[in-house]
Amino acid sequence: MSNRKKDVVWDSNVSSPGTPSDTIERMIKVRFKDPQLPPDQNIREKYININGTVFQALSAARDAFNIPEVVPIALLFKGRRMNPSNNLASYNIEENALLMIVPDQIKGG
Amino acid sequence: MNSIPSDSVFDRQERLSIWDQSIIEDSCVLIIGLGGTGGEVAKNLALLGIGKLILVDMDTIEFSNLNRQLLFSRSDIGKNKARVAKEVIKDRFNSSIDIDAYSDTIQSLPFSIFEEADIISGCVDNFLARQYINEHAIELSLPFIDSATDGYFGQVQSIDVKNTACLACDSPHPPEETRLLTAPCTLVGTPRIREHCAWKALYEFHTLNEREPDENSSEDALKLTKLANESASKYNFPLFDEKEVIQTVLYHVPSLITVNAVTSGIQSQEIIKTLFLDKLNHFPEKSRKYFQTLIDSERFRIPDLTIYSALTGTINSFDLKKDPECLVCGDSSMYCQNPTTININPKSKCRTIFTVLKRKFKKDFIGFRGNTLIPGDVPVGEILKDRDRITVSSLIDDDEKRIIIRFKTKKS
Repeated sequence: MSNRKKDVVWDSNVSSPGTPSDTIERMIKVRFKDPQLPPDQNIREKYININGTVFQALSAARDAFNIPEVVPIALLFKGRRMNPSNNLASYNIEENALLMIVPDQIKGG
Repeated sequence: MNSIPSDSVFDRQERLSIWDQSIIEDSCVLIIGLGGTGGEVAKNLALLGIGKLILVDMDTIEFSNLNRQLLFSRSDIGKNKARVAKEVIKDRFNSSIDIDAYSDTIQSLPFSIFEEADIISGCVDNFLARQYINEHAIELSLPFIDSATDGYFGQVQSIDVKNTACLACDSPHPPEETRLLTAPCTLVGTPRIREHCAWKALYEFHTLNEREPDENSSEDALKLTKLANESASKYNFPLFDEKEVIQTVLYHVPSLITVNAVTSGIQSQEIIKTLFLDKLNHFPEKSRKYFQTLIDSERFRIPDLTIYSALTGTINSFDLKKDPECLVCGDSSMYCQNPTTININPKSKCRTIFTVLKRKFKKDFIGFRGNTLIPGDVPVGEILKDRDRITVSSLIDDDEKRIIIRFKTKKS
């Protein structure tokens, strides 16, 4: 993971989320859910930069659940598939929002 | 135990409280793609007693299909999948079923085939075909159940035109190989990444040999590698070995019959449920009331997206919301508007008809079936079929229109 990503994403367990290096960053806590895991383990919290991209949120989701880069994943928010190149702010995500992790690029017949 | 003997082969399923065999027998399902999942769906629906199947697959049977495609055997290698599937299903599973089989690309199918179906079962293996089927389903307001598998994962998406997301909602990203294939400038121009050299090599192989390379042929692998390395060395990319080139351009999604079987089982069940929901009024009143109670209490529902993971043994379902700005199912999409019908003489030359269309609609471009180039001097009846739909568009505005072509008969 790059240093830049570490600036904007960190564990919610950390007592102080620190000061974002960029003034336009606004960190909010979201919940990632990976339904493939047992119910008592499938939600994890992360801080993400609401002014960042969905791609950054995907990285945070990977961090939260240790999902390797080679496994294609997508995020659903309120039933909408999030486009990785879009800005997170365009989805009106608020504190404690639930972002669902689903496998991506399943395409065989 | 019920002691009354039944002469119906469907006796056990007809004992279900929510079941109407006549609805199934009166229904027609269009199955596009007869591979690992499509073949299983066709088998399932035949055994359930579906009235008619329309099977479409342009591919031929290969040796590597035989680990999971139960309709085919060694003696079928080289034959068309749809045609063999038709024979096997009628011979082995249901002799009274009506089946049409097409060995064409979906882009070359007449529109009437889609119109005949009550529901579409999409079992194709690529992004572009899925999007093409999706557009037709939206245009005809046909329920569309799409499936896909990849190794240990399978998914089924149910598209209800009015209520759920379609396959184009929220601009899904095409897979990398699709992006490469849809950019002709990449194939003839400067490669931006190393993999482009391998794709250029495949394009040149097609041009030189007028066939697909055989991945099991060392001679073809050598030819492809040589072509790829010509570009790679010219544009200062690291050279390829034969294995790398084959893996890049002839990549096949890993497939397991177990995942195909689970995925196709879910897909087949959603097809039957959708048919029942669409024809709810056909049920006797008592069953209908019971059915409605289950629907109202969410105990009978069709999930928008179901994902199966063989790694964790989980099946999860999700709701998917429509994208109001979707180019295919959004409010302003041309597929959701009433198309204009034009009556034409099928013997007229394409050039004449298209000149008239361009003048009438003040549009510069005419597209149909994947925008094939249209020879001007050929009678339009040789290119289009009665009730086919075409698109007229212009570079000046985004206002595309759909037009239904009706052939004038002698009487009319």
